[in-house]
Amino acid sequence: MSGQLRALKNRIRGVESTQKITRAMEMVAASKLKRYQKLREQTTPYVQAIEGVLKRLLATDIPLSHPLLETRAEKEIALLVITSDTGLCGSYNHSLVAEARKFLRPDYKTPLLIGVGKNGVNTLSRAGHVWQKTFTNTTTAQVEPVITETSSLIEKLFTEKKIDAVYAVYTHFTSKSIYRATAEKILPFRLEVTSGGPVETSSLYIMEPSREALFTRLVPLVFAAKMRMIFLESFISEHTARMNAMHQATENAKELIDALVLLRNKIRQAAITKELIEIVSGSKALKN
Amino acid sequence: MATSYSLKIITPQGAVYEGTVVHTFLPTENGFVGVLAHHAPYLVSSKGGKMAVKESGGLEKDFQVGPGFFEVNHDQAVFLTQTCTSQN
Repeated sequence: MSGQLRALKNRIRGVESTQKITRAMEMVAASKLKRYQKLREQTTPYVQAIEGVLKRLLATDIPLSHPLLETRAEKEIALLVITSDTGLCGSYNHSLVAEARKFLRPDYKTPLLIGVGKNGVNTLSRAGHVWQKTFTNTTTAQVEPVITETSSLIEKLFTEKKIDAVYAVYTHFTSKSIYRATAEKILPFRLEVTSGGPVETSSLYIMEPSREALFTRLVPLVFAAKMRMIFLESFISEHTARMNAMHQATENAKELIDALVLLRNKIRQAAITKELIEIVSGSKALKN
Repeated sequence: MATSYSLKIITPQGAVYEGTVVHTFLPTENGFVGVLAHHAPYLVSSKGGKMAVKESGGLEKDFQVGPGFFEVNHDQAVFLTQTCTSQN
């Protein structure tokens, strides 16, 4: 009886320390989430302003062209897969890998793979896929260089016509705790001119050196800004997912501890009762 | 004041500068340009370099900017660039 009690106490202690770890991880994820959310807030005005400039450039009907907007027959495609380096974030990586696999079916032509994050890279490597370029174990300080390097690599491959289209598998973050793995075509990208509010026609503007030259300079910046948002959204989703997963784990540990404590008390009480019965029946036997 | 206008310098890392200025001196692709208040709608690309701003309070500020875009419309000016560092 006492052996069972001791084993149970050990188990409670074990679950308690697990709970401490999951709670700490939840807090770490929360603080990282805040940092990326701040980055996203800082980037948003830039993206909006740059889109505003683009809108004014496109306001006239004269079509403009750019190497990054060129639509070609999709013979060779590239796939950018953004997953996380570490696990313990629920179904985050799993749904991304599932989304990526849609492109890796045997009846498709194998795309050129560019991977960010150890989890997705390892999973798909085990399935026998070969990566063109991978970025793993990215520390927070390395985030900016990784974003620029990935963007310029994709841009280079596309402009050199080695690939005809680029798709990104990443996690789209809409609002607090709503995120979903998606595959999106990022190159050749469409210029979305959202019709919101009156746009002043570009003929009113004085443009230097020329409208075409401005457009040529602007398109790579729009692309870079878009890539940045894709990365930031992925990171925000990752940390939200991890925070939720760890919160759930902490809750589960709490429930488990409660159940175990109840069981421990029952066993202890049973042991006491048994001893009492033994004493009472012993003394009764003596009296008789 | 009628002779000043608002200027914002925005980078992907956030707004670096926001204020009311009298004069902006910026490096465009075809040389330096000064912009005063009531400028006609103007959109220009910048090759980057030194940008000088004279605030409505009389204070002068210098920035080292990367390649980007400058836009002014209805006394609202925005400078968009990847990098910008203040030199004061």
